[in-house]
Amino acid sequence: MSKKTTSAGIIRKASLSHTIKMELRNNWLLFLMLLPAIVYVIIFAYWPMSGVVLAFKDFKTRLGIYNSPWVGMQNFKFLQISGKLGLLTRNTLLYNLAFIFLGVVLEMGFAIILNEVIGRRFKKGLQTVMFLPYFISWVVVSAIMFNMFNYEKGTINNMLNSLGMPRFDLYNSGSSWPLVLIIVNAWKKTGYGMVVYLAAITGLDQEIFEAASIDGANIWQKTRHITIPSLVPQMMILVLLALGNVFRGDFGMFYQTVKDNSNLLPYTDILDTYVYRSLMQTGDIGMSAAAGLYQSVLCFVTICAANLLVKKLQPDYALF
Amino acid sequence: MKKLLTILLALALALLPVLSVAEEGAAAVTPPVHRQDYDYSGVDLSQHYTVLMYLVGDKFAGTDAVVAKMNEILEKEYNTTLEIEFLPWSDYQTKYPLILAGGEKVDLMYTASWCYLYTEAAKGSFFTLDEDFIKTNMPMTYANQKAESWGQTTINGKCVGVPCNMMVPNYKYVGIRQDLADKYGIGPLTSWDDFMNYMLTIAEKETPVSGIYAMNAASDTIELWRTYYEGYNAMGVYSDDFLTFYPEDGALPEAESIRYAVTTDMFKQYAHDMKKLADAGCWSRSALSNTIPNYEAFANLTGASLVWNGTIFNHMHTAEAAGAVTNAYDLSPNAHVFAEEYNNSVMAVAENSENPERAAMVMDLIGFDYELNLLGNLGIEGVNWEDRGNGYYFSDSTQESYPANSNAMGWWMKKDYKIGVYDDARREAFDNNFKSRMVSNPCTTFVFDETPVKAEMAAVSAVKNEYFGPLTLGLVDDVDASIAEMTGKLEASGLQTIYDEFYRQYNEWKASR
Repeated sequence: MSKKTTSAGIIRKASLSHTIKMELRNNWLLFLMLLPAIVYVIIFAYWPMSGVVLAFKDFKTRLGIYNSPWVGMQNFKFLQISGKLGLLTRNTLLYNLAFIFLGVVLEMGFAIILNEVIGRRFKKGLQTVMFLPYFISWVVVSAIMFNMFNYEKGTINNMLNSLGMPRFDLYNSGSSWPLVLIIVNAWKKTGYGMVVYLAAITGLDQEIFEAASIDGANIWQKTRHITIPSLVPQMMILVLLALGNVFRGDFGMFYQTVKDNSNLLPYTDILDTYVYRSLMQTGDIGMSAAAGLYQSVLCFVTICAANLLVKKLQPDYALF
Repeated sequence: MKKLLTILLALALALLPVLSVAEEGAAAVTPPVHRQDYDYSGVDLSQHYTVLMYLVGDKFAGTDAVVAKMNEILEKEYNTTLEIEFLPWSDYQTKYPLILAGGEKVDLMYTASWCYLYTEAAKGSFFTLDEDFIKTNMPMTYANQKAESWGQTTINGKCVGVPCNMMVPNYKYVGIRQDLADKYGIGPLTSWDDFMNYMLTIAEKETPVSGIYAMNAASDTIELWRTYYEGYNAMGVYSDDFLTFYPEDGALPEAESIRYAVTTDMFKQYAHDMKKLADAGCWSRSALSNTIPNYEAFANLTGASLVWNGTIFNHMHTAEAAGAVTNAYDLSPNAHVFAEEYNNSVMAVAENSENPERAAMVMDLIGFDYELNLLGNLGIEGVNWEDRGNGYYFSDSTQESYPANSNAMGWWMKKDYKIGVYDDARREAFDNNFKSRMVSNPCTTFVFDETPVKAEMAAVSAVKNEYFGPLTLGLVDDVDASIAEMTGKLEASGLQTIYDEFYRQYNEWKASR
């Protein structure tokens, strides 16, 4: 019996090795094209992963990452005693969920609308205008916002004042910031995110739309029954990928727009900005790595859970 | 009468530079130290080596020319070249720890009590300078460095850098728009109450008309807070976060008298005053998010006051060039003036240095050799400064090429081999006054080893930073409630654990004195 199993194993191995060889021989050009991507992922994604050990080490410059002494969970103590872990995790998660789901609605919605615009020049112009904010850095966005919402001298407050209305104290009203940040994020990123959906719509079989038109379907019906269902696979992939970073905030946005304004922090502080502010002075690599690991573990759990859910509901749309 | 007094004062100020030059024969300078008198035979100079020094701050236009001149000597006599890299103010906080941890080439690193000295020392980023090493590779430093200065860079018995070797007053000047003060009949500012009155008057009468804030504050008012507590003869122990009062009897303060600064009654009073100023409109309600530095606002005439060190005179000059009349005041003329700590500027050899001996030698040469020190400190004679004879020199502080003592290397290497002739008589009068009142912080050599409580220090510091800005800008609804909330969070973050460790180490240090 054991002899039989062994022989079968050898045969399977030999056949696998043969298949790989055949694959490589037949598709060597494709594998060659894939090589840079594999090298990239190994260097920039897998290799740095070993640095995770820093979260459990008391980093010493002389000893380097791997020879520094182990300190167990001591580096996590900072996060634990800060008393902010719950607030920061909640803020990071809720902001990202809002960004993801609003992003999907706006990006898909605008892609569909833009696809229906007939004038080619108008369509291109509109797309460019929507795309432009993506290229404006958060530093500039922050400066624009400050000039608009400065309490005494901001454009909007001056307009309100000249209309006899009370000024709006945005920089001391933390509760307004979730809305502000969601709007600003949507303004900046919708144009860019829309491109994927626009490309997918362009690739849809036009004969289906023509058939629907012949059957008397109007634009709304075609959108609801053809376009949106056709975009679901793209949407699922994008959402799942975004969920993988749901515990990582957009540092540029949160740090530049809010800066160190402590009055806003209860509503705007996320894990990334808190760790940056707290550890900037100490420059403690171990504690920073511990915070990063905490985020990574949460992200990993989230993406696995989301993927499992999708796999159960729609196996074809699952990532892995 | 008032006009006459103003004219007399102006005449007196105008004559001051002349007077200072007229007194030139009386300059009290440190005797020059010359490299030729010291033996460097213990340093292996057989191979050429380039010493890379990192400084924080921005590079001056004339830096390359100055370094080239220094290299003429270093290359010829010591087979060594000095190269300087700058970590600009805009992002030095991000880059500094990475330079040391990232394994990049670095030989000499500027550091300071405010610039990662203790945190990087705890990581072992700086080469330990023991006595034999200093004796062999840094003979001038060994012979001339002030004995009491070493304690400030000695952590757990290990010396991690060479501190500055000159004692200068560390005090804050308050600059104001004198033309506005005169316009509203405000007399000279000689107390905190005078300052409050000036601020409230400007907010009430000037801001609504011209839009000029009494102070165009940004993020917090930390410099004003320092001025405030120094007025009470309070001093920092280890850092400005731990305050106690200067002991008039000469004894070292009791450990329990040292308190976390933001939990003191003094801070509470200050926060109440700041609320009063904020409510009166002395600065924008958006000041917490303002990124235009206070000094820039003063220089471009959008702010009517400025609190800082001697550099305020440069900004006053800019404001004056734009048509304003400015003046500087001391709000606590009867308080002590504390000497700047030696560790306010330190040069360290990086642990990663490929040639620590050569790095130390260069540090020794530029730090003490008369010729090299004058070059690094003042720049090129005839280009950046001129010799006025009898130990005096003149350097235009507004020159952009290489102003004296203005980069991090200059702060560390400054020596009074020559006495500067002021280009602002007001500053000279202040500095002479400050020097006459200068005392040394008796706790200056106490260094707190944060390692056992580093998580608590980070958490407590995060809480302090969260409340410091709103409280020092008066942008809270209820000062007492905010302070009570902050104190509760500080305690939850481990403040008592920090106190316990701080007092233990302090008492040990005190017993060893």
